[in-house]
Amino acid sequence: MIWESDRRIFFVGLGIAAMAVLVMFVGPELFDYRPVASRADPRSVDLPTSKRDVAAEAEPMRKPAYVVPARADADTRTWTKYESRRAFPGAPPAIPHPVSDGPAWESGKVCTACHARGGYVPKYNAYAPVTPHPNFSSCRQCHVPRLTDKLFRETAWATVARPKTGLRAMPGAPPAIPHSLQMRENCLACHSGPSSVPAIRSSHPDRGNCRQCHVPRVTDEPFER
Amino acid sequence: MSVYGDRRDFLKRMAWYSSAGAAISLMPGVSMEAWSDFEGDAAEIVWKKSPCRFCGTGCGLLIGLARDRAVAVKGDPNSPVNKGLCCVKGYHSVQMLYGKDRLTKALVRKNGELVETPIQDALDLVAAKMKETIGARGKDAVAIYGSGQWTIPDGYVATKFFKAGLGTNNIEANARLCMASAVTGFMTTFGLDEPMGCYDDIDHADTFILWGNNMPEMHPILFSRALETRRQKESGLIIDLGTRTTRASYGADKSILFKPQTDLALANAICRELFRTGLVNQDFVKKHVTFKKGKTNIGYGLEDKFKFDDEAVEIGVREYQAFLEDYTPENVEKISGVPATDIRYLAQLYGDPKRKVVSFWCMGMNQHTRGTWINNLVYNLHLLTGKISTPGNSPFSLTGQPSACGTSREVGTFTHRLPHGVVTNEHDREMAAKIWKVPVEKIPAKPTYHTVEMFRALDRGDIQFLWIQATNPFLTMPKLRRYRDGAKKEGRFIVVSDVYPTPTTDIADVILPSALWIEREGMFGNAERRTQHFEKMVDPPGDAMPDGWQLIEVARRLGYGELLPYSKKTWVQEVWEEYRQFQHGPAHEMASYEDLRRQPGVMWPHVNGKSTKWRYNTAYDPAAKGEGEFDFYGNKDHRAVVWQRPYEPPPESPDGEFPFWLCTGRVLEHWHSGSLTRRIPTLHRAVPEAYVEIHPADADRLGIRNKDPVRLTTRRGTLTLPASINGRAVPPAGMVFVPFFDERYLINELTLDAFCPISRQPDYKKCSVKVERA
Ligand code: SF4
Repeated sequence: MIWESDRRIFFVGLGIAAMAVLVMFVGPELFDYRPVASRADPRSVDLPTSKRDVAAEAEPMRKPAYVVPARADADTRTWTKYESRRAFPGAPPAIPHPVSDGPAWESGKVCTACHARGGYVPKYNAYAPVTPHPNFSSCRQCHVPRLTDKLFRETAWATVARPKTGLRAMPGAPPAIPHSLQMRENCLACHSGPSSVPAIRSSHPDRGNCRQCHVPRVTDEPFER
Repeated sequence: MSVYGDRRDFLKRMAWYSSAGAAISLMPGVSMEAWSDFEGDAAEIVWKKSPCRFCGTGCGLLIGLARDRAVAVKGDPNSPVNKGLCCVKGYHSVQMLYGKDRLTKALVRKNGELVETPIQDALDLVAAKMKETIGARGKDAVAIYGSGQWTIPDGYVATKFFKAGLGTNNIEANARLCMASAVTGFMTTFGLDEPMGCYDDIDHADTFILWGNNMPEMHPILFSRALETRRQKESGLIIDLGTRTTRASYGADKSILFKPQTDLALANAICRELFRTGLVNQDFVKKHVTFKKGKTNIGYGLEDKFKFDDEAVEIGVREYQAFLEDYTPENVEKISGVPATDIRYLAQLYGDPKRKVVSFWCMGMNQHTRGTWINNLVYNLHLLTGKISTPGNSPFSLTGQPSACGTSREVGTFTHRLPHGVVTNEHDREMAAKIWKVPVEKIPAKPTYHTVEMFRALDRGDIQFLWIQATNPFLTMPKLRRYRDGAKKEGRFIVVSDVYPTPTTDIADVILPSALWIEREGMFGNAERRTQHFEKMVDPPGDAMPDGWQLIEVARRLGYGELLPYSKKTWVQEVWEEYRQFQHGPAHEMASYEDLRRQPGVMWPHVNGKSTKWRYNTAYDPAAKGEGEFDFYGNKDHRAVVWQRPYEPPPESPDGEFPFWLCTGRVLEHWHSGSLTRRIPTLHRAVPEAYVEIHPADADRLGIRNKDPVRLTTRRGTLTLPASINGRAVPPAGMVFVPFFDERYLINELTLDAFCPISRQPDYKKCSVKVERA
C-alpha cells in the first residue's frame, strides 16, 4: 500500500521527464545557465493517498465555479498578505481576524460557516478564502490566531521564496503545478473566486478538470533509460 | 553536446530554463519579500522523513531542506500514523532550531557567573567532578535525570554508563512524571508494558471513550482520525469523560463531567452494571482472566523515603462481584456527580456486542495518586467485555513525549530497570552483563531513587552531583520550590545539557550545548510501539553535540572507553544493533537498522519483516501461542488480571481555607515546559502567556473579570496570573486550571508532590487552592 503511491509518483515523474525532452527543441542559447541547487525529492508533490483526497480533487469537476462578480471596493488578498500569514510556503496560515471564545469557535464549527464556500464578509470588507480541505473539521488543530506580534525570543528563522509560477514548457503551454498538492487537492479553492490572490486566479475556472492540463512538476531530473 | 557538458547536465538545465524564464515574464512586479530570505524555489527543497519532535503521537513529518537549513514541513503521506496531516506544532516544528538564543558553547559557572568555556574543558570538568564526588561520597552520590525526549541511543548509553560503568542505579527520566502509572498499569494487568493495539484501531472502532483526555489539543492527529471515523460510520460516537469542559467536550457527542479522583468509582460502577445487565463476556472471562486484589489505604508518598510494596491476592469472581456492590450507579452519582443514567449508558456502550470500543487516556489517568489503579480499572472494562486485542477494540494508553515509550520504557532509563527486565531479577542482570561484557556483580541489584525521591535526596544531600539532559525539572517538578532550593544548596553540582536557556540551566554549574532533533541521527518510539528513525539533516550550531555523545565523552574520561567503544560517525547504528540483542525474541523483536532507515516507522514485535498490530491475539502476534484466540503471555498463567481496586480520596481536597481544586496541564500550541514551542513564532503568538481558567459563576462571585489578575495560593506557594473566563476551556465551579508552559508563572510552585505509591508518578491534576482577585 505504502509503496503503491510511490510507483504512481514514478510514472507521473516519467511523464514530466518526457516533457523536459520536448523542451530540448526550444534552444538553450536563449537563457543564462543557472544550476539546479538540489534534486527535488519525488515526495515534494503528492498524489492523492486516499479516497477522500480524490474526492476533494474532483470537487471542481462536480461543481463548476463561475466568476463571481466581486465588489470592486472589497479588500483583495495580495501576495504580501498571503505570505505574512504563513511561516513558509505551504504552512497552514494563521487566523488573521479575532476569534471569539466558546464551544462553536473552539471546535471549529463556526469556521466553516464562512470558509467552506466563501462569500463577502462586510465586517472585514473582504471575501472569505475557501478552504481547500473541507473534509477536515478540527480547524484549530492547525490554524491558530495571532494575539501578539512580539516574540518570546528573537529568531533567525528563514525560509525559501514561494514557488515560481508560470512553469511553462513552451509559450502557450499550460503551466505546471509548482507546489505540493497535499491538503490542497481542490485547486479552485485558491485559484478562483474573489478571495483568491489575483496573480494566481485562473482565467477559466469553469473548465473544472484542472489536472487534465496542469500537472505537478515532480522532478527536474530528465528521463533516463 | 560537449559545449553543454554531458547529456544529463544539459537536460537538467533545460528543465530549469523552462521554469525560470516563464516565471519572470509572467510575474512582473510581484513582491517576493516576505519569504525571500533565501533565493530559492520550492522545487529545490529536498524532503527527508523524521518523526515529529513533539508529542507521543509520533506523526511522520517530511522536513524540507534547502541550503543546509530546514525551511518547511509537511505531513508524510506514507506515514500510517498521520497519513499526511500534522498539527500546528508539527508544521512549525523546524522553527525551533533557529531561536537566536540557542546554546552553542559550553558555559561554566565561575564566581557565580556563567562563563563561555571550550567544550572539551567543560567535559573534563564534568568528569573530574563526578570522580571527585564518587571518591568522597560513593557512587550513589552521582545521578542522571534524563528524558522521554532522549533518543533511544542516548537513553541506552546513559543506562549502560551508569549501571554497568559507574555501578549505580541512580538513573531516572522525566517519563516518571508522565508515564509511570501507564507502565505499572500494564505490568500489573498484563505482565508486559505498552499497548496491545495500534492507531489502526481508530479506523476499525466506532465508539471512542476519552478518560480525562483532551485529545483535540494533546493528540490532535489522533482526534482528527477519530472524527473521520465518526463521519464515516453511522454508529460513530465520541464520549468525553473529564473534569473540565474542553475542546474534547465540544467535539464529542456527549460530555460527562465527574469530580476529580472519582473516575475510580465511575469505572467500578460501570463494571457492576456490566455484570448486572449480563453484558460480561463470560466465555472470554473464563478463558483469559483471573481476578486479584491488592493492598488498600496505600498512602500518597508525601514523606521522604516513603516505601510501599503491593501484594497481589487472587480472588474469585464472587468476591469481586460482592466488592462491586458498593458501586451502584446511585451511590456513585453521589460522589462523582455523574448521573446514574449516564453510568448505565456507558455500561451499555462498553457492553454492546455490536460496538467496537476504544478507550483513550493520558495524563488525566496517569498523573493520579491512584494512577496504577485507574489504569487497571479501565482494563477491567475491556477484559470483562472481551473488547481487547482485536481491530477496533482497544484500551489505549497514549503518551506525551516523542520517545517516552521508545527510550524511557523500552530501554528502561529508570532506577529499577534494564533494557530487558529489572535489576532485581538475576536473569535480567545476567543478560545485561553478557551483552555489556561486564561481570554481573558490576550491575547493582537494588533500585535507588525514583524521580521525586531523587530530587529529595538531592535536597537532603544524599545526591551531590546531578546531570540533567533534555528536560526542564526546575519548571516541571511538583512542589517546585523545595526541589529547586535543594539543588541550589552548597556542595551540589548540577550539569545541564540543553538547547536553550531555561529555569533549569539558570541554576546549573555547567551547561552543555546539545544538538537538537534533526541536527543529529536518532530514533524515537511512539505510543503504538512504532520505532522511527531520523537522519542528521542539518549541522548543530557551535559546539553543540548529541546528549548521548556527551555521555560517551565523559565516560571515556573516567576510563569507560571499552564499555562505550563506539565511533563518532556510526555510534547510533552501533548502539542500535547492540540494544536490539536485549529485545531479541518474538515478544519484542526490534527492526534492523536498515529497515528503520527505509520505512516510516516499524512496530515491534517485528518478526520476519512484519510489524505486529495486535499483541496477545494469536492471529496477529507471533509470540501468542495456543488454541484460543488470545494468549496473554506476559503473565505466567497466560491470563490477564481484573483488579479489584476501590475508590480512595486524594490526599488534598478543597476545604475551608483552600476551597478550589487546582488542575494543571498543557495547551495545543505549547509543549511541556515551552522551552521549544515558545521560540516558534507562530505558536508563541497564538498563546503568548499562561492564564488561570475560572468558571464564570466563581469569577462573578469573586469580582474577577476576564484578564484581571488572580492570586492563587496553596499550602506551598502563591502565584498571580491573568484570568481566563469562558476561554478555550471552562472548568466547573469550584475548580481552576493553569497551563504549565510559562516560565514566568511557575505554577508548579503551588502543586503537590503526592504520587501513586505503585508507580511513583506525581499527581499534577489535584490539590486545593485559594482563589482571590489580586
Ligand atoms: S500530533 Fe503530536 S506528533 Fe503529530 S504533529 Fe502534532 S505534536 Fe507532532
